[in-house]
Amino acid sequence: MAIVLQDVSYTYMANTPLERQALSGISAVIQEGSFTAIAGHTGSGKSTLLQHLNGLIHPTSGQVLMDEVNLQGKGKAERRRAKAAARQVGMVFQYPEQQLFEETVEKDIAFGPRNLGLSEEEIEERVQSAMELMHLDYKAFKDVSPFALSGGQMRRVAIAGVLALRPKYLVLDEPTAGLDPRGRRKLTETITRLHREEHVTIIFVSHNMDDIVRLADRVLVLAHGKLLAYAPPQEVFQDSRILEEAGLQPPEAFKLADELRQAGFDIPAHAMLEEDIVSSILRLYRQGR
Amino acid sequence: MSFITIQNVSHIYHAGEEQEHRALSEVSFSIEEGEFIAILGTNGSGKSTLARHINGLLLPSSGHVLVDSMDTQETENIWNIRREVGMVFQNPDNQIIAAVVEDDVAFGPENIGMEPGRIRKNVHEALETVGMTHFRSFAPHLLSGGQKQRVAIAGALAMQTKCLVLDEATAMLDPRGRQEVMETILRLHRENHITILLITHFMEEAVEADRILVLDKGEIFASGTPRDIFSRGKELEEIGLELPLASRVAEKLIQQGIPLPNTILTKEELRAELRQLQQAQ
Repeated sequence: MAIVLQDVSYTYMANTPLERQALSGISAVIQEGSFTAIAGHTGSGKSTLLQHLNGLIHPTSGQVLMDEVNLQGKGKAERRRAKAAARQVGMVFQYPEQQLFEETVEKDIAFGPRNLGLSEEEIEERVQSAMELMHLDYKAFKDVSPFALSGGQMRRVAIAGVLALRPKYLVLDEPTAGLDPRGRRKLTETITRLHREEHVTIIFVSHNMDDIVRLADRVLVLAHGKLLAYAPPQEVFQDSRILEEAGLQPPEAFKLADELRQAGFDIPAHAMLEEDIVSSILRLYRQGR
Repeated sequence: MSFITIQNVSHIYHAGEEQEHRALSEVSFSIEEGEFIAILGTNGSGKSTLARHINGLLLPSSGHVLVDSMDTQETENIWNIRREVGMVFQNPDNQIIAAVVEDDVAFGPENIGMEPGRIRKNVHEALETVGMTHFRSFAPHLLSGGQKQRVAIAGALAMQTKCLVLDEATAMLDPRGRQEVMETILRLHRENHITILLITHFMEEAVEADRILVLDKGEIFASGTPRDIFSRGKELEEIGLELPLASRVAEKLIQQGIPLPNTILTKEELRAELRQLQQAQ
């Protein structure tokens, strides 16, 4: 099973003077079970692409298949199937904590499942397990107002609300933006665990290339609405032409490795995490003695 | 007398209500004119609350904030204070109001009744300073995040602000936008001698400051030069912060017995120290 993008193009305000092509001819397969990053600078089409993944918008041409179902159904029966397929995708938008609204954490997370018309027991079970997945203690937090929490905790509550819908594919737009270093680390650990242990397919947009290298098995790079690369991050970030064309910067650790290489230190080209650099230097130092 | 003085400032949200929350307790420090200060702290440590006190968007529950000898508690001072202290917020889309870049930058000066000839001159200079002259007749929504933030900065400059407070102004930007904004801030500090207060979660940005102030649970946890602050890695980690990348790598190498100083902040410094070590071998 997979999300398949077939020659997807999207034009905003077609046939008006403000017409703008946001995506052109994107084809890619996002396999179930994968951990995919989407990178590109502001205006490259990232958000437009994300909105295609759960049928919020439909391609102007081309199609999006979710587990073989076309998200743009024609006719009543097909549309019903498309809607069900789109429900497989949980969307976490940027700054999702701004969408919290209920009086208590429990009610906020229960909002989605309740809208699905589930039984009270089922709702409670889902809220509990979603909170557990997001490392929020059920007893300690269920009756707390979401607005009394820290930024990082609020974001966990918001993501738990999406997880309570039990999506097979979880799409996150800049999940760690604006969090402090600890919040960032905790949230990336949690997302990694969702992927490894709960086998949720993860698709995330990030401006943080270090997160992309650390987490993703493949990165999809967009520039001016076109697909520039779709490969493992180590490969993509070694190619300075791709980075330049996409207006991206390599991960910080890669820049450090480069700086050291220029000073004559033999650091391998795939060293893109700080621990890679530490171990390379240790090796060189011990050889030197 | 310092340019900005914060005296025993406490701030309590929802005082007397169920959600009462003490965001700042007895914070005192001062900022000299032309200084570049970075403020670090986790989410909820009181950074934004503190920033909003400096131009009187929030008033202290107790204590005083003095800007250029003017107390923010005194209502008649507030407009003069806001003219001297400009703020740039996190979300570039929430602070642009006009349909054309130039008009947006002119909004503040027009509001305080500045003379039209001077407005034109100030707007022109401000756009020049942030490198946005080329975009002066653009609609703001066609700009990138970094460009929008530079327009917001120009808006403050056109008021001839003496101090800029940037509250996580780079958090929502892509790497290129972040770099544009940081370069602008550094230039304003070095060439125009504008006092800068930079609130950030990016340790690499804080390295550029003259002085770092670390907040934790509404109190000042530490204050000093970047070198002082970032030589206290353990303590910073305990309160949820981290070191800049080069310092982190150096620290791990030191733990493995490599004789490096614990004051390395930048990639260049790490390179130089390692090079020295190599030559000594």
